Parts: sequence; structure tokens; C-alpha cells
Amino acid sequence: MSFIIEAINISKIYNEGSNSQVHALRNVSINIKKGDFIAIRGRSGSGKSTLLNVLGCLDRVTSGKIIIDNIDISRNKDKKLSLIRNKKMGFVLQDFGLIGGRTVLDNVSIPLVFGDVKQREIKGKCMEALKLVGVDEFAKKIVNQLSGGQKQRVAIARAIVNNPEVILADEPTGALDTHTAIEILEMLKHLNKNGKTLIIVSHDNIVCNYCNRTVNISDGSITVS
Amino acid sequence: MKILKLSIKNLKERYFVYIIIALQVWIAVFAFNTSLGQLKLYTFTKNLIANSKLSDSVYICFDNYDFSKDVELYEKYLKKLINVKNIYHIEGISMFFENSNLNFDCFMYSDGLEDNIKYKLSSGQWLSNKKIVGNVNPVIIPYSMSYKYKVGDKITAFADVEKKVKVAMEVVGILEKPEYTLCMNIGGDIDLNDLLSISENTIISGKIKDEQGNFIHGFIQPGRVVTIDNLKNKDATVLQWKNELNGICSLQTIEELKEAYDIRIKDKVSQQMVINFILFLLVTAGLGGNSLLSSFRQIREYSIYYMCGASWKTCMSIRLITDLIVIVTPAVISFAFLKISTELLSKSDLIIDINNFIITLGLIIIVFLISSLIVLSRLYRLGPISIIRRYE
Ligand SMILES: Nc1ncnc2c1ncn2[C@@H]1O[C@H](COP(=O)(O)OP(=O)(O)OP(=O)(O)O)[C@@H](O)[C@H]1O
Ligand SMILES: [Mg+2]
Repeated sequence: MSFIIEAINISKIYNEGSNSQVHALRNVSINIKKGDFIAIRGRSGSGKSTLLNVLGCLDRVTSGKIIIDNIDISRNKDKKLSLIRNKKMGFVLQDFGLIGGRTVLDNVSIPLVFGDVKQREIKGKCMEALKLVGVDEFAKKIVNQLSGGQKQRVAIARAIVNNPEVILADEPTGALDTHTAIEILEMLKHLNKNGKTLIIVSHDNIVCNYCNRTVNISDGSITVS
Repeated sequence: MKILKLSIKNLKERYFVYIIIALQVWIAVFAFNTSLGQLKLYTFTKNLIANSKLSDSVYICFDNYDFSKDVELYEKYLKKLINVKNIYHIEGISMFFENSNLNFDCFMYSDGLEDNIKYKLSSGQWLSNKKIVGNVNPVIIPYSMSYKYKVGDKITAFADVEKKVKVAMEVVGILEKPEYTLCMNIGGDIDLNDLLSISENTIISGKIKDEQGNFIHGFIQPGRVVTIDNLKNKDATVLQWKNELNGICSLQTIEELKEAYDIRIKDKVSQQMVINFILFLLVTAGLGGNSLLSSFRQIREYSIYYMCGASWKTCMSIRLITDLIVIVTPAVISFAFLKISTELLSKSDLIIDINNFIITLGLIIIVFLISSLIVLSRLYRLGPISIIRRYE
């Protein structure tokens, strides 16, 4: 029973009760073991991002349980959830999710600023993470001046800077050309080999070559796991 | 601490927007305080009249007579007023401080008048509680002299240019600021604004004795004559007086003065008040819009913070502290500016006080809070990931 994340019978309904109600997840159950490299696949609008968000504590489920490290967090307070996001989760998004006007270092340091890392340790930790993804030379640059691939590396550096157990990536290669996409996937694979658990949402077929498990989702339900 | 740092970072990054917002706050505070100040002056004056016994009084303005030269004539005319029990006047005299060439006005209230017109004091006691003891005259000084004299201090002055008539005074009370003393323009119409006008250079006293114990007389200026009587048939009596003294003086009741004052106020103060208030509304609306826009521009940033482990509370705190810095700093500067400039220029047709400032600040903060809440509720509804994508 050593699942890192366990989702039991979760459902997610957006705008519940209104005309624009959307049933994005229907009774989904999924277990994620430490060291997994999972791909979540499915058509547009099938609920992939929604699943990723609730697994990553970015959003709450409407019903069901999410258990992280043997604790049901589905009813947790905002503050506790933010602590989990800060300590245990790293996010990588399709559009990088960086603050364009700030420096690379500033961006990477955000999770450390909200954690309990000492001010004087922040820079060292950031540089370490940047070195790991090979963009440490751009540390002082403004994010907007970087290429897509470089931005995504910075985003990965930010995701790993707090040394989380799980990295959740929503279409991390969606905005990149094939060559760069493969570089990024190689990097994620490398992180996985070093013990990180990865959950990737992707349309891209190549992703399947890297992961050890694929979850197919259709209309809010898991079809093949 | 962390939150403060992020707020300051936020301020630095968007300093241009925030400078505009700060300017708007400045103008809003300025406009609203001016507007409230005018309103306050208006109500203050009305209250002063209502709370004093002035409301029973009739004001007499002798058109062309300077009674300092002919006191008998003055008395003769006053005798024409039937039924009058209490008739008072205010004598004015210019005095000189003992050790300097500076002069000041001394308004000597005739016996009993000081009981009927009690001004608010910031410290000390009103004249009617004090009598002349050993030729030392009790006086009330204006607030502006309070930096120099305290209650109990002695002032020595001369009642003549040659500095022969020496007068000893003791400060028994200090007027509240703003300072209102009864005074009137020579030959002018009686006007409430003049009646209750502010004078920074006027000491109030009862009858005054010099060192030798002789009473000093000043000038009974037209208009500084007041009758205070609880007249049974006031309107008829006043009408009779008016006929009796037709061509010699004009009589006005407090109601007539109030009416004239209201017209003046409507013309002058209320117009400014309304203009300032409209300015305040416009600027505050712009302020709200600006804050809304700037918040919307930052909504993506908060989403990223949230994703990286900040709670909603932290995001809101960053927003709040940024707002507070942007509001409070220019507001305080603006208020200080307003306060200092009215004080320095003694532009005293305004009452600027801290309560008005707090009201203004409260209103502006509410506007900011609402706009911040609108933005944060959007963040809450859409979720951080949709926001990060949507506002790319
Ligand atoms: N914040 C939201 N409010 C309301 N409805 C939403 C929200 N987010 C997603 N949805 C709806 O939920 C359903 C699932 O959305 P989701 O984003 O999970 O799909 P997806 O599989 O990630 O699609 P895509 O591949 O296009 O990213 C969709 O019908 C979408 O319109
Ligand atoms: Mg998606």
C-alpha cells in the first residue's frame, strides 16, 4: 500500500447546479506508485487536465477521495493543500507558466520563496536546479528573451527546485518542435530515473515510448489503464 | 516579510501604473477632504449659531456713524428701541505687545454678552468665570497664539501708540481652532460670515482696566451691537424698531442673517463642495477601474504563485499589502500637504481634520477591496491553470 497518490472514485463537476454544468470526471480511480512514469491520454475535453489538477491539489474534487501519503486530502483546508503543492508537487505546463518579465532566477525561486527555505540558500538551490536542466548560463536573463525549449527547461527547473516527489506535466511538449520535445522528454525521463514520479498529460504519441504506464481517459472516465 | 517583499517587487515592476494610481489617490483625498471641510465649516457655523443664545438676538448696524466720537448719540439712538432689556456691544481696540512693535486686536465684550456667546475652548475657562483681580484682566487668546502663551501666562500690552497706557492681562482660556470671533466690517452689511469670521490676531476680553484701574474704551463699530432678548412678539417689535431707526441704522434678526448666509453659502461654498465631490467620485471611479485593470494584469502572477505553493490567503495578502502601500502613502502625503498648506497660508475657510481623512481613506480602501475581490473571485472560479493559459 505504498502509493504516492491514490484517487478513489473521484468526480469533478464544474459549475455545479448552473446551466453551464460540466461533468469533467466520473468516478475515476487511479493509483500512482513511487517512481511511476504515467501518461494520461485522451481526446480534447475528455478531462485530462482536470484529473492532473485534482491529483496535484490545484483543484478540489466534487466527490471521492484523494489520498496522498496515506492521508485523505480531499477535504483539506487551502493552507494544507498549498503546503502539499509546495513540498510534494512540481508543475510543468504547455505554455511554461513563467512570469515573462522577470529573470530566470526569479522564476525558479518562486516555490522556495513560498516554502520555508532560508533567504541565503535560495540562489544556490536555484542554480543547482538550473544546472541540472542545462540552462544555468541564462540565470540572469529575462524569461521573455529565451526560446521555447529554454523556457520549458526553466519551468522544469522551477518544478524540481523544491525537490518534490511528483512532477505533473500538462502537455509539456505541446508548444515545442519535435526535436526540442524529445530533449525535454529525455530530461523528464532522466528525472524519473533519479526517483521522481512523473505524470504527463499528452496528445503526443512519442510520450508513450518514455512512460511505463498509460491511462486513457474518455468523457471523464478511465477506459484503459 | 515574504509577502511584503513580493508586494514591493510587484510595485517596482508596475511602478508606472502605481504612480498613476497614487496620483489618483492624492487627488481623491484632496478633493474629498476639501469637500468635507467645506461641509464641516457650514455645519459648524450653523451649530455655533444654534447652540449660542445668538438665535434670540437682533443685530444692529448703524449705517454711517462712528460712535467712538459721540457716545451720547449712540445711547440716544439705542433708547429709541422699546422693550429692550439687554443690549450689548463689542468694543474693539488695537494694542501693542510690551516688548515688540507687534500689535493685536482686543475685542471687549460688554457685560453679559460673553455669557451669551460662548465659544468652544481648547483649554482653560470662559471669561464669565473670571473677574478682574488687581487690575489684571482675564482674556481668551486665539489658538494661533497658543504656541506662545499657555493658560495662566501674563501678557503686558499697551493700549496706545505712545505706549503710555499699560494693561496687564492673564490668559484664562484658549479658543479652539478654527477661531471665530465676533467682528464686523465698518460700514458693511451685517453678514454672518463676518459675524463669525476667523481672526488669528484677536484677543477676547470683557471690560478692561489699565494699570491705574481706569476702564479703557475702544471703538463700538457699526454692526457690533447686539440685542439679545427673548422678545414675545419679536417680528412686530423688530418691525417697529426698523421704522423707528429708519435711515439711521439697519436691523437684522438672526433668521435674516442665516438666510443671507445660506444664499452666500450656496453661491460659494456649496458650489466648490459639489465640484470637489464630483471630482472625488470621478477620480475614485477611475481609481477603481485602474485597480481592477492592474489586478487583472496580475491575476496570472497570482495563479503561478498558487501553483508553486502559495495559498489563496497568501495571494490575497500580497494583493492587499500592495494596495495598502499604494493607497496609504499618497493619501497620508496628500493629507499632510492639505493640512500644512491650510495652516501655513491660513486659508482658514476650510476645516481639515483627521476624521474626514479617515473617512476618505476608508472609502478608497473599500473601492480597492471591491476591485481586488472581483479579480480574486475570478481566479478562484476559473482556477489557476485556466488563468495561466488565458492570460498568457
Ligand atoms: N474551469 C473550468 N470551468 C468550467 N468547465 C471547465 C473548466 N475547466 C475545464 N472545463 C471543462 O471540463 C471538461 C474537461 O476539461 P479538461 O481541461 O480537463 O480537458 P482536457 O482533456 O485537458 O482537454 P485538452 O486536451 O483540450 O486540454 C471540458 O469540457 C472543459 O470545457
Ligand atoms: Mg488539457
